[in-house]
Amino acid sequence: MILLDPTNRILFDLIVSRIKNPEERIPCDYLMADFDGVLYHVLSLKGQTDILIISISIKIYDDLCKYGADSILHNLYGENIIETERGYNMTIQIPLTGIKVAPEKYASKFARLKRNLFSAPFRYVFEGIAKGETFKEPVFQITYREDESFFIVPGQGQCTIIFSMCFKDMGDQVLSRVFLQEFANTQKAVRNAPPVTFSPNPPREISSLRLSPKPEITYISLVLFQRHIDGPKKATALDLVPMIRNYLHYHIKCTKAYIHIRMRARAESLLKILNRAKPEPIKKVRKTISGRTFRQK
Amino acid sequence: MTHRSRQTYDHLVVSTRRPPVIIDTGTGYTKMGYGGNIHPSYIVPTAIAVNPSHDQKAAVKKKGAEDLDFFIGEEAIERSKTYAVHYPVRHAQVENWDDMEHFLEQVIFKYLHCEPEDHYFLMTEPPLNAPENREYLAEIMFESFNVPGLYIAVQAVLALAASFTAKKSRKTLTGTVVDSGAGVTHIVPVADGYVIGSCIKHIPIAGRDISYFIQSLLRDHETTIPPEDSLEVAERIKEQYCYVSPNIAKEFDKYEKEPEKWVVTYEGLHKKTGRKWSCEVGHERFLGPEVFFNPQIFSSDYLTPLPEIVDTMIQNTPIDVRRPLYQNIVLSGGSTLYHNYAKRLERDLKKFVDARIEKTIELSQGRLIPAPIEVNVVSHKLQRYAVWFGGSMLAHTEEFFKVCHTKQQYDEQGPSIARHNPVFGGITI
Repeated sequence: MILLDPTNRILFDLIVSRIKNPEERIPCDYLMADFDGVLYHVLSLKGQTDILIISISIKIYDDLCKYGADSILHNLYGENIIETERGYNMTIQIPLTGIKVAPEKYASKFARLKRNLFSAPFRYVFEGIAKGETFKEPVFQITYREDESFFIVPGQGQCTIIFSMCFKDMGDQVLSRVFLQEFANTQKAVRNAPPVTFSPNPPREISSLRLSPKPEITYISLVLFQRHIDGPKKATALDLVPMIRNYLHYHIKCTKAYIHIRMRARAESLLKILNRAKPEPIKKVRKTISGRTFRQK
Repeated sequence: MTHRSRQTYDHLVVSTRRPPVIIDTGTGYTKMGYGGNIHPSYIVPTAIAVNPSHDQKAAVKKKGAEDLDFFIGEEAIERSKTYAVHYPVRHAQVENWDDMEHFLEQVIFKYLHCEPEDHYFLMTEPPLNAPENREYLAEIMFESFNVPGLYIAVQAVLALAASFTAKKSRKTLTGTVVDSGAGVTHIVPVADGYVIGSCIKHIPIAGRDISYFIQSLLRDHETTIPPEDSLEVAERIKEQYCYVSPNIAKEFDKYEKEPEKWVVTYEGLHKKTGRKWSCEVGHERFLGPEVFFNPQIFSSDYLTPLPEIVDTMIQNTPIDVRRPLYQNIVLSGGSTLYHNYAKRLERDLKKFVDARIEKTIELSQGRLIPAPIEVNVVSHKLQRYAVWFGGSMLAHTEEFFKVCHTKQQYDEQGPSIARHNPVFGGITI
């Protein structure tokens, strides 16, 4: 697995299995998490097990709404939206019977709730660029984690997306630098790839925000041109771009796992060598009292 | 848990957006999900299918991202033709940490779909696990995945905690756990949350052996079953139709007299030709689970029945915990789900206990009459993944966050912190 799937697998499987097997429609009350601090509450009430109720909570909901998240969600889930559960940002109900499309297609629509929500500002900008609109704000900033934000700087026929990423662990900081270096280099090998740059200082595009550089924060910026976000490519871009942080973290973890495997193999071979180097026990010649020797066979 | 504490707990979880992650890796299946839920999100085979060109010894020659080309769980089993399938856990112990680390990568990022840096983790270990294994696990979790907190719980203790949901339960962390999964059956005495390690007994009979036994029984009288599916069919039959009988001789009689009432027909589809076939399931229904109570019908080298093992095990424990151990015998694992399993175990155990008391009375010529010993086998609805559920329940307390080893501690002291995990379980429901 190289790319992370933006679909929430648990929700997807839950909905599909409940549509396909009526005996699995048991009352339930689950609390689940997703990337970027998203929390789901899945509810199926006694006596109404043909309906699944999913509430989503995301810290930056208000920010996302500024960039049209609610209108996107209303377009997509219009008839499913019900009164929001307390403590959550949105609640949808999913009927499990009388479905006209394939269960998988139906389920994936709801399992991509977080993806649709989180990618809203990106979609807003991408669509604006396609129409050739000019945006009022020069920079969109959304702080989606404690010390991490993403910035979108829309321009003429292109936009710059900047992620500020915080690696607390020293080892991760080193690995991330190597990884990003590779990322930036690959751009030369792959034609038409969006340019990627990274630096510990805030890039020029967001200099207006007057951010001060911090040692554990790296800024990654990628420039998307119209050709990257045209037509069918828009959906792919919306799948991938908002997941960059998780993608990077996933691969840094995989890299560490790989290094660990190498380390284990190396330690094992070293042990073998050490074991070989043990001096063989010196054979003592045993003599009886009369001076004769035994030979053991 | 009182209503108030549940509210503060929810507040804690919601405000930090951190439901703890519970992963129970067993020999057969891995159960994973978020704490506080009743059911695990996934129960998948503990299997990993790796790209055959990525041999671990040849890892040095790596060119691309072959090390990421692997699948776990059901997806791994499906790809057994083109990939090399490994089982990282053998006899409840992790054998291959390379595979385990890969396995966890996908458990976290693909199945649970969460950022490990945000969640506390509760992992499980078998009784008598080597402290080194605990250190390895801590190393992987803290160094590869940067988890903020980790707790490694003993499976038997979690199974005891899970039994709190049963009506019969005494809600103590003292009891005997009969944990029977796919690979091995453990009988573990637990006193106040601590495992009495010297008394643990293993029985080499578990779910997989019962499947083999049913397979061989079916082979004797049914010819319609496609040979390549026969083990799978045996497994299905085991799960759907098997039960524990109080007395085999009487049960044979019943089948003799009213076969139409007892013998069931199993229908299957031939995997390759797609043709329908059917076979009759008769004595297998009660003979399968009978292996636990009369092992001589299945194997010639292992002959001690389960109730006898439980009894001798309890007799080996310190004298002051024997009574509570008899009073709270908790079942866990898929192979304890048979109908009437608990009843039979309780009855057979009672026989041993009563016989012993009678002997005492006889030997003392009636001068010594011991208080009767209560034997209680607790069975509940969540037995199948009792360990996971126990973990989910314990992780749903505020105390859990206090007993976890944190990343700071790890960075300060190293993996040795995981050698000891404090017992907790001061929960009231």
